[in-house]
Amino acid sequence: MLVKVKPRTLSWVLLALVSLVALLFGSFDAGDPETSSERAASLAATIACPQCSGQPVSESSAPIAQVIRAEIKEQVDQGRSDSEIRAYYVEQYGQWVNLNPSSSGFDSLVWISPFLVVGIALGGLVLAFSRRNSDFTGIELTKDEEEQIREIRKVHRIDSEASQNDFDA
Amino acid sequence: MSLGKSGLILFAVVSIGFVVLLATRGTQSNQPNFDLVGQPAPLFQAETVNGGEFDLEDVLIANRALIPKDQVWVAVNFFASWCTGCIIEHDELLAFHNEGAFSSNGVKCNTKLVSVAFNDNKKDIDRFFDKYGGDWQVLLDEGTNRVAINYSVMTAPETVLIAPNGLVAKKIVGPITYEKLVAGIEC
Amino acid sequence: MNLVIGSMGVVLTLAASLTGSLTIVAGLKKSRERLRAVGAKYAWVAFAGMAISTFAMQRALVTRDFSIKYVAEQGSSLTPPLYNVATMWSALEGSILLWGLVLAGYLAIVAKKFSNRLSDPMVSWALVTMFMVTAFFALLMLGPANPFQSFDPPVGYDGPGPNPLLQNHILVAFHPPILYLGYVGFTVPFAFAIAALITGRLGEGWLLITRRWTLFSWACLTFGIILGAWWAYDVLGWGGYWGWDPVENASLLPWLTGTAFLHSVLAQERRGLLRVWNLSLVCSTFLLTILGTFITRSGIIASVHAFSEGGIGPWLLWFFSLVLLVVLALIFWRGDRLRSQGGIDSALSREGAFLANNLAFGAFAFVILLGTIFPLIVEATQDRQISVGAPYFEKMSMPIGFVILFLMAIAPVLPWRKAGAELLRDRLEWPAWGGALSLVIAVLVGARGLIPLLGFGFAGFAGTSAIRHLALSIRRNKMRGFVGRSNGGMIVHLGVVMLSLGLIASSSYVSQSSFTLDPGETVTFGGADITYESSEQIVYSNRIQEKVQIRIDGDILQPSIERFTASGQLVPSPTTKTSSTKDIQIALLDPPEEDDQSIVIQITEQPLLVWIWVGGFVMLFGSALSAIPSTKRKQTVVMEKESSVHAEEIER
Repeated sequence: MLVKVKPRTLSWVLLALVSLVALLFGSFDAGDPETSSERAASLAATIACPQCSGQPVSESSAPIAQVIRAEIKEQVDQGRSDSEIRAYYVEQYGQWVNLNPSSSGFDSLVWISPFLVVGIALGGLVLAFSRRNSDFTGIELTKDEEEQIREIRKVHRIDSEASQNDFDA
Repeated sequence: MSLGKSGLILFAVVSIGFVVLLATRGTQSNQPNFDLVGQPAPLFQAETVNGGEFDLEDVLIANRALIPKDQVWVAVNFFASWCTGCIIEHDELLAFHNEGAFSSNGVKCNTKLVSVAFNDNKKDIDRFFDKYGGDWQVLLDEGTNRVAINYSVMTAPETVLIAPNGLVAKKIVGPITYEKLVAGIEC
Repeated sequence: MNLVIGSMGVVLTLAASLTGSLTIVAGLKKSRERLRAVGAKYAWVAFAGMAISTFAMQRALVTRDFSIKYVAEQGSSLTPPLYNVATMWSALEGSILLWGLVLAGYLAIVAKKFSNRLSDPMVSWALVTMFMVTAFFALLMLGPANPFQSFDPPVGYDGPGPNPLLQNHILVAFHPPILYLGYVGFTVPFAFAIAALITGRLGEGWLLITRRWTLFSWACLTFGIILGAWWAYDVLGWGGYWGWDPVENASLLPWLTGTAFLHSVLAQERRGLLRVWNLSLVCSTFLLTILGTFITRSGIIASVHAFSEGGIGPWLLWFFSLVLLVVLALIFWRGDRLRSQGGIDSALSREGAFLANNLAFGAFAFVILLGTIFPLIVEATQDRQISVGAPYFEKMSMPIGFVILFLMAIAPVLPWRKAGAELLRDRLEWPAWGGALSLVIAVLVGARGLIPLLGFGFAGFAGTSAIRHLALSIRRNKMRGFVGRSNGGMIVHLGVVMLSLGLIASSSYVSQSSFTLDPGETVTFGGADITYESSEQIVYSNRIQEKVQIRIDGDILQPSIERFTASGQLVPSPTTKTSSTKDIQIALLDPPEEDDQSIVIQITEQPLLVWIWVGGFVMLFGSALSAIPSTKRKQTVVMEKESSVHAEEIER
């Protein structure tokens, strides 16, 4: 027995498929591997220029910034890993040259607390929402009343998009 | 008290903490790193702009075989032809290079001044020394920028004084004066 | 002469603001309407004071009157004429004068526009609030931020001129004033929110009468921020337009709460919901403008944009604390009246979407505020220095951005109260296809990476939803389908989508490299041939410019470096080749010298970058369209609604 599929549902299934294929292809297709200068550039964007006001060495014309940029490129060519290179500059100048706050210890709070706060806010909303709904002692409508309301809504086009989006009245 | 009002009070308390935090902050600035002082000086070797060579390790090894009066105190001056502070301190460096340093009991100690060029080029360095004088070794090659970073240099001028035993005796950020540089030198 | 006139102007503004508010308060206490009307007149006097001071300052700058300390420090005989006008806001004291001028201007216009309603206590209290804020800024100008201090110039003295980076681009004349129109403009809805709290009339009244003011301020703030980004892009040379610098973040924070407010009021207008949210959002917006001003001018966080300090920090912090205290006390006092009559029945509804919107923008604001002040927290509690920079903000803002794009897509189709799955399936079909096709197109043109692709998908989803809304509206109302809050809003959304595309593409696929070139040498970069052809030197009144001619794929670009005579500062002037698909920016890092003609250039290529500015203009255009009424009946309906709101509140 053939399952009757509505064209609309088919359309949605199709677009979901298309999106998934595109996403998977785009995420896993190797593309060009990262060159050493690209890696050096992205590293340089995370190291602060010691003589500036918080700008990364990739965005400063200060002499020390130029020097560090060049040295990062050399260290990448020498085969050092990202974390080794970052650790070197932190060793030489202090934790503050790492523009990426640490993800361990006290500093990890800056990464975690937004999620905590959003979680608490959502939790509070869900709580308030469910409490309101469970407190609801609504009046049940009769069939006739429901029909009447449906008619009124239809005549005044209350459910039309135009009415829903009328913000100028 | 309702949930809303207690939430309000909590928010007020947090805000007070926030304002107190802001009120107690001073002006922010990047602090130079003085961790090096008292630690063994990072070793380095480099070519000079005139084709010579300098190796810190050679000096330190030689120091071990010498009596204190003959041991060499090395002043490493991080310098650049574009830096205005370097012009200001140049006379002080000339004094250090020509006169050397005296210990507290009047004995003349052995000193050596080398400049390490920072983000610079030979032509501009030659022009600088032609104009302002001085004939000590100025180091510049592909590795000298790394040397600067190894010494946590943020900008020129910075000067590091290395004791004969290889420990960093002091680090001066900014233009030096002769007195500040030689203070504490003993032999 | 200028100094006396300027100082008198400030005193006049202070006196008028204090007198005006006292008169109105007296009129309120004694229920004397005439007093309240008279009090409002003082708004014009306050504005006159600021106008006089501005005139004096401009005259001093243009005539290089070095007897005024501000002109001596910021002005110079070498500065080109146009930039003298802009010098007024290139340093601390002048920027406060600009703030005062804009604030007094808004004050006067509010007094004028509401002149036939001065008997309404809400209008009176709003004016009092605005008078007090104006008084504070006037006080700043008599205290820590005095632009009219005297100076005794030695013979032949010439000032250093403004910072060279503020002298080489036309946008210095537009970005600060427009930004301030936005910042300061939010004082108006804030003042009415305070008035609503004080009078207890917390229905839609205060929202409706401040609608246009909120929209105008928001549009100016949006455009001002985008102009700032454009300016940075044009002059810095790294192809960057946003650095998550503390001052930039400070300008973004009120924009975030302001945008949430702009949307959230619709839920209160239609269903009386989210009242506490709306009050909190508009008060937060105003507070954040003060906080931002504090961060920018106190030096507690290092920033390239920071003005030099002068002891203004404590004043601003006290003012911030005072306003915060007043707001919290008022909300606490009026707490009961703030409860909404109805509630949100279903999360999947227009109201639910607005609430989710508030949460998303609120989370965004929290992240940015936290990241900006976290180093201060660490320093205070653990006595060590850390940095929180671009990597943090970029990583955290990306998921929030996706949520906002998603909300932008579904909110316009959600009905009020409750949505059925059927209805959503119908209405969202085209937008969903738009998202899917955006994904496909992106992959086909070579975009890779899960995150940017998701971004393109969401952007397509949101953009198609906006187009669908507009299409339906035009079909119904022909040309009128483009105007009005709803349709104008959709055009703004389209602008946001364009902006997002530009942001995602340019940040995910940027490529940059530097080259040393001898005259005549060619290199290849990003598939284009780049040749160093020639160079020239031009001497201007205040600077010497080294310019080189670079041929790239048939066009000639002329990046340069300028050395400013007065300060010796070297400022690069990059040039950009723009197309709808990508921007190529070339910056001259090392100019040619007499005996060594080789140069060092930096080339940055970013796809779709121009769409950031195009999107910004579309947002501005959409805001303007929003202000045009879409129905002719508007006037009477607002009046009716107002009086019914009044009746409702008298009953309560």
